[in-house]
Amino acid sequence: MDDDLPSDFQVIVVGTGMVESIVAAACSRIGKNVLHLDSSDHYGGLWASYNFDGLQKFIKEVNSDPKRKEQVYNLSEKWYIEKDVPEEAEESKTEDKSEPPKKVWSQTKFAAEYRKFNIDMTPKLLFSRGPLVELLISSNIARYAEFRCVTRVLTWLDDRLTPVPCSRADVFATETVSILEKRQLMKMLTAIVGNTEEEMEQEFKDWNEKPFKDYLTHKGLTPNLIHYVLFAIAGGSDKMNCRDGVRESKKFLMSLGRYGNTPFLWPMYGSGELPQCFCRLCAVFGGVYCLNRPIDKVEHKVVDEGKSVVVIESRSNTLNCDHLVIGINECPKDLISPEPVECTDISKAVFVTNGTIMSSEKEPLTLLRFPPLDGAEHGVTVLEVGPATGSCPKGLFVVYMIANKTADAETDLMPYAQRIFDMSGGDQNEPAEKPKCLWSVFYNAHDSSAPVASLADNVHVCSGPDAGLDFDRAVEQAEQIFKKICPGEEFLPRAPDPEEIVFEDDATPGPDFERTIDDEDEQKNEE
Amino acid sequence: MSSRKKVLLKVIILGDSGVGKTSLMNQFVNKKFSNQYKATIGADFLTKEVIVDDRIVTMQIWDTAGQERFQSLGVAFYRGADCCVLVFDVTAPNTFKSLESWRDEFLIQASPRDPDNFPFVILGNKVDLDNRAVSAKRAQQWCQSKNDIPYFETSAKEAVNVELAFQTIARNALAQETEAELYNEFPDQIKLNANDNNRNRDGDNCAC
Repeated sequence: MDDDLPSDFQVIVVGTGMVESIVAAACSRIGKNVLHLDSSDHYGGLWASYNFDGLQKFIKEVNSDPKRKEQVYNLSEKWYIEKDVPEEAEESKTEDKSEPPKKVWSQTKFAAEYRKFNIDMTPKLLFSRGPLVELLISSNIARYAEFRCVTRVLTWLDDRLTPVPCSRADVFATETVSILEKRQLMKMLTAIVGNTEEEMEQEFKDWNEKPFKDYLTHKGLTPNLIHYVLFAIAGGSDKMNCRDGVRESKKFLMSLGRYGNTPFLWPMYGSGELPQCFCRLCAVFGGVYCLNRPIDKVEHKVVDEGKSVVVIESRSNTLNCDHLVIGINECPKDLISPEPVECTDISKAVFVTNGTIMSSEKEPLTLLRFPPLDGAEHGVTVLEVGPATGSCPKGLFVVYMIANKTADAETDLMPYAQRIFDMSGGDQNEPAEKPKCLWSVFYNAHDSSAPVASLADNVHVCSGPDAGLDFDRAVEQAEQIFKKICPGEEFLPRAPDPEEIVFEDDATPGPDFERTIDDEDEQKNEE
Repeated sequence: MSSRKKVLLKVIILGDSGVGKTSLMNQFVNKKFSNQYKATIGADFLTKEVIVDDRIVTMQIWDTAGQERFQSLGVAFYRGADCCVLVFDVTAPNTFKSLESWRDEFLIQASPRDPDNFPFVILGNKVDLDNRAVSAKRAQQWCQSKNDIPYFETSAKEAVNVELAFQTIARNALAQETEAELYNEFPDQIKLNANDNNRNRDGDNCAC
């Protein structure tokens, strides 16, 4: 099968991460002839989602393959539950549909339901009016994906979890702030969203480089309100400057009221679905897909009169293209400019728990923005997703933590985990204030999100995921790369709906003879 | 069962490259056939309304978009499938042999709740051609051995049995669906569109 892979393409894309996939779709959409490869057997690269089995393989790979260690290190996995549950503990689990007792989970039960887990390597949210949502809609790629709204934004205030009032309805409904504070908060939020550029300029001209916190204090906000705006709405820290604070708050507020009560959407089955949506569009427009296809060698050749091609050796094939788009995780080192890029690595953790961090009527989907604790410099972003997102079996929640790395992932994140989970193991059914952590993994990820220069004009290196909450930088970079490859062309114009496509009639002569099917005659031809 | 609410069925078509998946879909939905498809280009998904008993059913039929050619269909393609059509070419025995692995692949990737009773249909396509190499008997035997999967011999080119096969697909999927409704696995999902009409009813979310 491999051998009939065509050898000449206008664009070859290596790696199926977010940026690579968007570029592939954009090129194919406007008629470029695209080949899209990935060295592994699944889509997404550093942006992939794994089921529990896939995740175990990933962990094994990280621990054994030195090449993987460049991307992921300090990985530690831990179980807080038994390998198997003794029979009597299971007995209470009957067919009785009224209030079934909480399932007692074991490692074996995780393994049995491994397919129901979709755990993201790069969990991210979409702002409802952010660039990715707009792109999905305008390109019509949205038809390949489904989403759920984040139902609440929480923060950590006075040693407990507190919902952040972010919409007008929330502000009025909340009991945690006084009438006077409500008025202050509304005024503040309205000013950030409603003011014109000029008014903004006037308002902030003396503040831009100063701390956002000082501005909020200057405006007379109470400490509680400052906390909400600074940490939860702007997602900042004490050091955040006013320009960034206003920009981030505006982004948050502008996305309210489109799909739900918060500004955020979460992709069903996880962020790893999104690259696949772009890949499908690429394929629909003729892009050729080949997973499990590592590349061995990349050469840059000048053909004549300044025209150059990229020649790729992959297994026994030689592939030629005018442009190579390659993910940072697939890219041979000699293609990258050796200049070091400044970056902070990322501390990440994933937890599987037996309940939500804060109970609610319907299954919640939560963004928790932890302010820095214990004198840390940066806050921690926490995402809690439940079975309704297709992330895990019923009765469980998957919780992600993401922060800038200071020491190592476990040291950086454990203090936050301990505040919201019971990490002690033990009886899963004992009444407890906090959900039990059943399984966890901590790891550091190399931040490869800085743009990297390649050594040739027609080789375009795509960055890896950043620590940010959204996909905005990936979309932006993909568009930049596309514009370099296809100058003057439209970036992902709307794809027609299937019913708008008119199939040509000319090749339809219709039946020219009647024929009955007689199996017996044909049997002799078998095999 | 008496519910008259509209039902949307996601149907996916699988099988080796060149067995006629796109043509079958196009024959069923658009009543058209073209010899010119080399590999699948522009084929995405097509929708068609059919009536099964007294219910209106919208079938959304998803093509592989050619990603099956080098075994590169991603798991996203399989999500939420209500039924699966497996196609082989009666003139190409290898495509018949592949059915087993396509079925397995589907069950692994889509991981339906009840794999033993998941609605599959097998289509032996291109019966209009003379160089037939897989007999109906052999195909039927295989289908029987797999929990009695319905089998149809089709010709996308001459529109033989295409309508009937898809009707059966819809009917069988619907029989499953009534049970699935009870589970209603993931309600309230959001589809993005320009009109923002998914807006939550819970009142005024505008911050200004």
